[in-house]
Amino acid sequence: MENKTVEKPRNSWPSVFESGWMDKFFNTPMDEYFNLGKAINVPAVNISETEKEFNLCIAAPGLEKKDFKVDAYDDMITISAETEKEEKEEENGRFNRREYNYSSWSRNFTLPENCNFSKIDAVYKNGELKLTIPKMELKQPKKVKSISVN
Amino acid sequence: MYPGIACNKKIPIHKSKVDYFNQSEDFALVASLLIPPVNIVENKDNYVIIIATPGLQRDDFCIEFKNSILTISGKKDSTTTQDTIDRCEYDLTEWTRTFKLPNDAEAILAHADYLNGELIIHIPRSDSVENKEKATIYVY
Repeated sequence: MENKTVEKPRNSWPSVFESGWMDKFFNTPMDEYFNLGKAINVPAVNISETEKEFNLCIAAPGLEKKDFKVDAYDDMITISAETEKEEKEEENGRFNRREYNYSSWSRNFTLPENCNFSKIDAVYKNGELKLTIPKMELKQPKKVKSISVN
Repeated sequence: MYPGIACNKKIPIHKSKVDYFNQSEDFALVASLLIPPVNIVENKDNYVIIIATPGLQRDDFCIEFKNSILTISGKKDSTTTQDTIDRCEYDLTEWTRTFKLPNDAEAILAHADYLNGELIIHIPRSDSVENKEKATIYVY
């Protein structure tokens, strides 16, 4: 059996070749890479932070208040929406261009520890769902006092 | 790519079927939501252009029509506050989209509504149309 020595990749080699982005670029189908011929079906989110709170802005136009469902579990918040408007529109006419479709989606976010879950507020206005998550002060861990052994 | 003003080529809306290859002009901008995505529905009596523009007010739009070209633009007062933005997936502060209307679209009689973040423009169809005048469509 022939013994082959496996050469270790040089450390000085630029890391762009190892991170896999080129592989992804050349191997994914064009349409998938550029979102071509595919409608956007998950809404975009902007997240900002102030001293007192976190603000989540979800761009989901064309829905109604009742379509949304917001659930907060342990440290995870799940926002989902479903609407039946879609089918009616297709009956009325035919799409000859379709770039977005927000009729059914779900997004999850992990929240930092210092969030006050009981006071999350959600408002839907002008096609934006705005979630305000207030911050709270974390309880300081109890101070440890060492006791000497006699 | 400059995120502020996103201009793009004219989109002909009278395609007989969905032509994915023709959608390529601005896919990168649409995918990154620097210009709003558009759905176009066609039925017997009119064309309906639906533009997803969350976060804008009805005064922010400007819809103009000239020589069978429909130009829709939006400009929002920049809401740069002292917040630090942790994640930014969409930015529709300033954008323009243009559409080339088919011959049977009567843009003079078009009307626009803004509801739940969607700008909906109805353009009636008729057989004899002269789309040479300049007109502005107001949003109700």
